[in-house]
Amino acid sequence: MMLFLFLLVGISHVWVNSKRTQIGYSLSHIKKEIGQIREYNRKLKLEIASLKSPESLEKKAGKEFGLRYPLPKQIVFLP
Amino acid sequence: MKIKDKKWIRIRIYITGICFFLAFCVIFLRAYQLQILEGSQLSSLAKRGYTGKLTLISQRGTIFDRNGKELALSIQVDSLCCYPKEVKNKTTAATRLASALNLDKRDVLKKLHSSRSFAWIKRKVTPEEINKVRGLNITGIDFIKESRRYYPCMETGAHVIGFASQDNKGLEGIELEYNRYLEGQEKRFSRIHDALGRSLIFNGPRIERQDPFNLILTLDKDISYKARKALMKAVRRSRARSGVCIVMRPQTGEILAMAVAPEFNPNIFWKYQPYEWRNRAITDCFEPGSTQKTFLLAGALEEGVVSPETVLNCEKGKYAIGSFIIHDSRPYGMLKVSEIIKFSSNIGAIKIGQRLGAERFNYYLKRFGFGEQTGIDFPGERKGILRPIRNMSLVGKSTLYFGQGISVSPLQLAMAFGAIANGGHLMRPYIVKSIVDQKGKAIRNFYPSIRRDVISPETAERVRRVLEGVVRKDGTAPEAAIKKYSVAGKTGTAQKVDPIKKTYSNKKFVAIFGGFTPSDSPALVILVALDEPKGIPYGGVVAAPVFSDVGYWTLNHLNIAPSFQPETSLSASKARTLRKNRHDASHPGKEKIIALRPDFPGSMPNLIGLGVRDVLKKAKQLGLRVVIKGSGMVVKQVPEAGAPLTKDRSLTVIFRPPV
Repeated sequence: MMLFLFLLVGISHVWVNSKRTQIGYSLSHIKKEIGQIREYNRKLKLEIASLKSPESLEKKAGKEFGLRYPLPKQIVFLP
Repeated sequence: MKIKDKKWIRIRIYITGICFFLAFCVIFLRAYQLQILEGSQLSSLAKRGYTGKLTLISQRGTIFDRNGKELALSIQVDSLCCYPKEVKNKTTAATRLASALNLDKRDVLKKLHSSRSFAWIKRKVTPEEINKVRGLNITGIDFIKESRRYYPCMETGAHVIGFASQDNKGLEGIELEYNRYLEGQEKRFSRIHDALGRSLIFNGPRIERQDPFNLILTLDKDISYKARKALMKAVRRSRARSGVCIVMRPQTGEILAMAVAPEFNPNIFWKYQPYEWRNRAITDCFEPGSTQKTFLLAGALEEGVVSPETVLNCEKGKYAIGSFIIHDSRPYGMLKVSEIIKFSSNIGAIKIGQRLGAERFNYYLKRFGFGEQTGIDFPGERKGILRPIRNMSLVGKSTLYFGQGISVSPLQLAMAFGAIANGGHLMRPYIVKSIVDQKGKAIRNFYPSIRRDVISPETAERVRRVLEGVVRKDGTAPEAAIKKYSVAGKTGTAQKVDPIKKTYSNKKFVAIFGGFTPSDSPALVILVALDEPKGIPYGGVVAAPVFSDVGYWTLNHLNIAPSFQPETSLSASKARTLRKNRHDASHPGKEKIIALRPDFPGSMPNLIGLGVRDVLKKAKQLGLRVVIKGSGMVVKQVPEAGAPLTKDRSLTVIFRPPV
């Protein structure tokens, strides 16, 4: 009986330790992924900022969509 | 068993016992040595084997404009370093590294022969360079993550924002002034890893200092862009040496835009000369010329020595002061004070000045902030020169009335116009609105502050009415007028001093126009100055159109209603035109067809020129595992476009910022 209990405790100890190691691995993996995603996020923010810069918008609006600034006579002021 | 045998067995037992005892003693002594004598040393040795440190480089804080748009932000990039003692066959390694990185071989070799344990080879390398260097398989070299600063609006607002060095230290502009807030600290984590070096558990981080803070500026990137564009157009057209355009809120002193020519791109600031980095709106000074008459008028009206209706003799364009003759551009006779300002008569200005007195005029110039710093939160501000009256000759005092013998910065001039516009309060200009932490919580806010009250609101109102005349058809700056908005301002064409002859040059001028709009309820102060324009140098011809262009656009951008009664009903013909335009715009035949890149099913799409977002979207659609290197636009992809999609489905994309 004692031997059985001893075995049970031993196996449980080994199982808990191996589980802890596994969780440790996946935790560090997830942390690394979070870091990467955060960096992607920053790069996307930079890209949005670059695309939304007035110079880039003006170039795109003019060349790709044929837009231009309205002439003073085309602006109607509403009361 | 014989007694002799028994004795022998006992001896053997004793011997075995002694052996065991001795062995136990050895083990015990060894354990004592390992655990007690060398315990701490060995345990730290073991710890070094399974623990490591992970250093996360800090990102410099982000700079936003007043609408929350990024003006400067940092991302991670790789830098190449070497550990010289570990590099074998240094000459071959230097040759290969130099050719891969486009560096000088001798420089690389010098670094590899360095007596230090660490040396940088090239900082902030591109993803292609990383791939090339990895392919060389050289021992003793490594990549370290560093933070790189990007300025997405490039030249727009560059002179205000400034730039940071490769080591993340602010070098110019707001980056320098607020470096202590923007600069972050490296974070160090301790980690436990296995025999293969895979991380198991992270502890920490040990934060040694707060995270960097972000800044929210008073600048508006759209207004800054418009000011920059209009100024550059005027500088190119007039072939001026340099130019400045300041847009400011008179009620608060907030700087909305500060465009400076020549311009520079802070993403590659090292390719420009230091004189191109200088924010001339704050660091350069010049004589204000006839714009000074505005403050002469303000002082004279405040003191009650003249009124706008007072008539003065302008001496038919010639007036003797001692042995000097002062000239006007036209031979004016009797002019009202308001007309003296409108036509910018120098002799008229002297006559007003004589009534006010040089001492009082000097007092008002000081009150308007000339000869002292404005207190703007920006490095390197100059205070200009305002000489004491007692050191001036009679001619010096007389020419001071129309802006000679004094030097002012464009910002001082803009703030002085602001005091006229807002009813007499001289404001402190400011560029940073708020300092916020990473969660967006404000740790410090900056508010408008009045430096002093210069003139009464009534005097300011009378000056405004006189300045409105300057932009009328018969004034000196009709080109500054803005359709449907009232404008008040003053031109200035200041002669520059020839440094060799030490006299005023007849060829070199500074063309200035300062003013505000709408003049009945000023929302914007705009100051434009162009240094040494070629051809016609008058402020009303060269600088005034920039004022009108920037003013008109900015008023629309800020949704400020026109001062004049707008047309409330459209005429029949106008309505017809409008309807026709609307019809044309919605007509399908007029639509512009935008060609998309053709992609073949089952093959790798063409990603060149796309951004990170588009690449991730496309990769998700096709089920590709994408590895992103660098930032900006795609310059290279592996596998290339058109290659068949394999089972592996992995794709490496290299980006480069559009600098």
